[in-house]
Amino acid sequence: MSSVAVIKKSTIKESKTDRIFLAIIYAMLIFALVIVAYPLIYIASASVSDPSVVNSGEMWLWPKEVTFEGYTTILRNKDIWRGYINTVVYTVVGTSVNLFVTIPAGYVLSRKDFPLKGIFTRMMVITMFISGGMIPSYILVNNLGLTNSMWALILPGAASVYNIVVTRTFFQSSIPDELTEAAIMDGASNFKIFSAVVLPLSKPIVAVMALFYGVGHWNQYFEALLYIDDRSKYPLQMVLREILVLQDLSSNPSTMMSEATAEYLNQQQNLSAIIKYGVMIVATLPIIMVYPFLQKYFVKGVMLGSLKG
Amino acid sequence: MKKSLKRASLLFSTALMLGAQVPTLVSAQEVNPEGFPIVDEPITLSLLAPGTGMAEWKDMPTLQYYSELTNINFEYTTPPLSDFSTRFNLTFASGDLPDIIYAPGSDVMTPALEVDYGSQGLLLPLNDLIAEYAPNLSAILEERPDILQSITTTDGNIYTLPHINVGDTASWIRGPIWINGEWMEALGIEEVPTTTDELYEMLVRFRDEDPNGNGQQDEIPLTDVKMDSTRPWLLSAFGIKEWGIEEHDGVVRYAPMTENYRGYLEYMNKLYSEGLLDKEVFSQADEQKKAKGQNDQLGMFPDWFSFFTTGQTEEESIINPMFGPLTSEYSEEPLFPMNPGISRGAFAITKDNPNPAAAMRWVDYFYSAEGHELLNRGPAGFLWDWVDEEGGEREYAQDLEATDREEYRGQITPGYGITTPELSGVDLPQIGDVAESDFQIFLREETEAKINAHGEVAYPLVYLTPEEQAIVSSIAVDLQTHIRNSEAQFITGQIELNDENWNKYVETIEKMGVEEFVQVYQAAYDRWAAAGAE
Repeated sequence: MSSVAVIKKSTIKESKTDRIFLAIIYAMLIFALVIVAYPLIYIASASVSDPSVVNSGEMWLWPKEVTFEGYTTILRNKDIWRGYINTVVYTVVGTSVNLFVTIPAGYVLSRKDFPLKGIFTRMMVITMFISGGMIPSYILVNNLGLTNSMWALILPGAASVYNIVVTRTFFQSSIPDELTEAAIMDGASNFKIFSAVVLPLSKPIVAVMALFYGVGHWNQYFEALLYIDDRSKYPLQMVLREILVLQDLSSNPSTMMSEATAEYLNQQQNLSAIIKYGVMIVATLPIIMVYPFLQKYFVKGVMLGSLKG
Repeated sequence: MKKSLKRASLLFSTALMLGAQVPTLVSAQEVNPEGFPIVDEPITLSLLAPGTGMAEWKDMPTLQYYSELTNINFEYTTPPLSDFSTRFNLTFASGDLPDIIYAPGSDVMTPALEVDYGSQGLLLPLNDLIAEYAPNLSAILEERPDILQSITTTDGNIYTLPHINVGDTASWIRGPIWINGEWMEALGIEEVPTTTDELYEMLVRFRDEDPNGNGQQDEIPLTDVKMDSTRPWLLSAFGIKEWGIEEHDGVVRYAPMTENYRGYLEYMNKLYSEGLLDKEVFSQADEQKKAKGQNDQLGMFPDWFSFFTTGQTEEESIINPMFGPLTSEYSEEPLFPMNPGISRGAFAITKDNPNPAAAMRWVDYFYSAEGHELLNRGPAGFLWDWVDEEGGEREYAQDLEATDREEYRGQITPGYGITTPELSGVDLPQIGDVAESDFQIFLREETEAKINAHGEVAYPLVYLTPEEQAIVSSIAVDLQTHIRNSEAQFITGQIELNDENWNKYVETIEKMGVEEFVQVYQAAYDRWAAAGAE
């Protein structure tokens, strides 16, 4: 704050080129702001506007013919809320498991005195390039008996190699060896060093990993499509997709269908026209709300991990 | 050579295995030859079907009721309709097959896949099972040999059962074009156009004479989303039944390279350039079209029912007549494309099924009028109830509005929104006092007069051999892309429709191998026709 004040007091006039430079910067920033903000405002406005004015293009920025029908329909839709609860549970449990696996793994690989470091790192990195693919994964999960349970969504992706590497780099670059040496001198065990010395210094990386994994769980739908059959266990994205994808199918598709199908598709289309924008808001709001609180860690953590590594 | 030998021996051994397997399985299981229950000891089968998300299948009264009746219970796997194909393909790829595949539809269980999975022995051939355990279906096949022709693959086996529709809309290839009846009334137009010139005149009047009466020239005489829904109906005015392979008097041709097709393009280009065809036809989505319809801006539009677009009630929409066949210099006789009324790929039994005979008896019930009623309306006590069971008098069980009734139907029975194996469209016993709604009568009369009276099936449902399939698959995609792009360019005038450009267009089609493409379909047609002549 004080530095800003100092600049203001300064009597040196900005040169002409400086001002032009600033003007250009501001123009570009405003341009970027408009590009980023417009879709958000549009979706927010569309969610409270009548679908017919939205579709005919009459509503293009601010709400028109305001109606809260979309939100009331969403509030009344049991599937959406059940999906919401499921997603929150999957995200919280899943992210906890992820952190429990990733942070210690990253730490161990960062220790210079860990003898098999190289082999383990290489083994892990290989899986980034060569993966089993969808069908073997499906067979594996099926044979493990995880199908139709929350663990099918959490365990196969519990450790992301990419994230482990980022975490390792963070530990390597921001926790000086002297610190662990000092702890050893004081008689701390490896577990003690990790929990009492390293972890408290690693809040940024924990926050960043929580966010990476958390957003992943929140948006997860494909795994759910493959492994979850029980509708009561569907995550939110699955429910939304079911509602929204059907509106892409016209009520008059090319292949033969029965009258009942036509009516069903038409009804789904009308439903999704009403709630489409509302569910976008409802589904992303929690993530958007978490961001500001984690942002300071986020920027710092990723920078540390990437630049100094 | 070696490879093909190996493959042949593999095929042979699978065939042997199958041959050995099927009869033992059937005979090992107890199945009552007729009546209910189908099995004395309750059995449980697994079933894969697309779900509409209205309710869990295990909670549906229709299925619960039918399980009790038959002693056949199910473990249902019902991934959402929107992503069904992913799950379906994965199931086959992983080898973790359900006992029954129910209502996948021919979009997902394509004819090519049927042949493929059938020849690998993953799907059971159903011919003998039908003959022995499906009296209702057998009776239909006897009466309608064309159905048998169309569900029998090139190796002589039947791998999937069809959805057979004999209802009012069975002959529709897709939703018709509807004409805005209020506009016709406002302009004093009494008859729907019967020639291309009359259509042109009507569209001009729609454009110029402010039929919606709002004082603005915001009328869009004809609209569609990418031409897909209007094209089939308009093409017929130029003597074309299908935008691709079609058959006339036993001769198969590729329509988009004919002079008739050029006539269609010229006509549509005229409509487009004069503002009679929606300028946004190639860019808009369905929801924009519907928004225009609700604003009373549309003169002619395709949809399954006109009220889907206009937002009217069923009753109000009776005013909108169906667009009928046109004649032109290219086609003297009125002609409309018609649906054969069957949809394949509605039911399959896999090799893992422990009791195929029971499964066949289970599904055969739905090919009877009684079974269709159960699948359509559910058992008594939910949607409807008996007033007098002896006399067969029924009433609606709950005071539901018609639209809610549809939604409720989706919760009590799987026969909603998917292509179920059944004989649908047969007249059902009346519920309450309402015999038939005016809308139903209107639909039937319009369909009779306009589609059925002039309808012809463009090309029958056939199967290709794996070799034929390999030939056409590669050509079909190129052709489709080319004619789709060219159509848009010719209609919008981006490419002028003169001799030079037309010849170039036809040449490109020829270079893509259209000759071979047509030959394959000619051969398939000949096979199909020969099967019928037997």
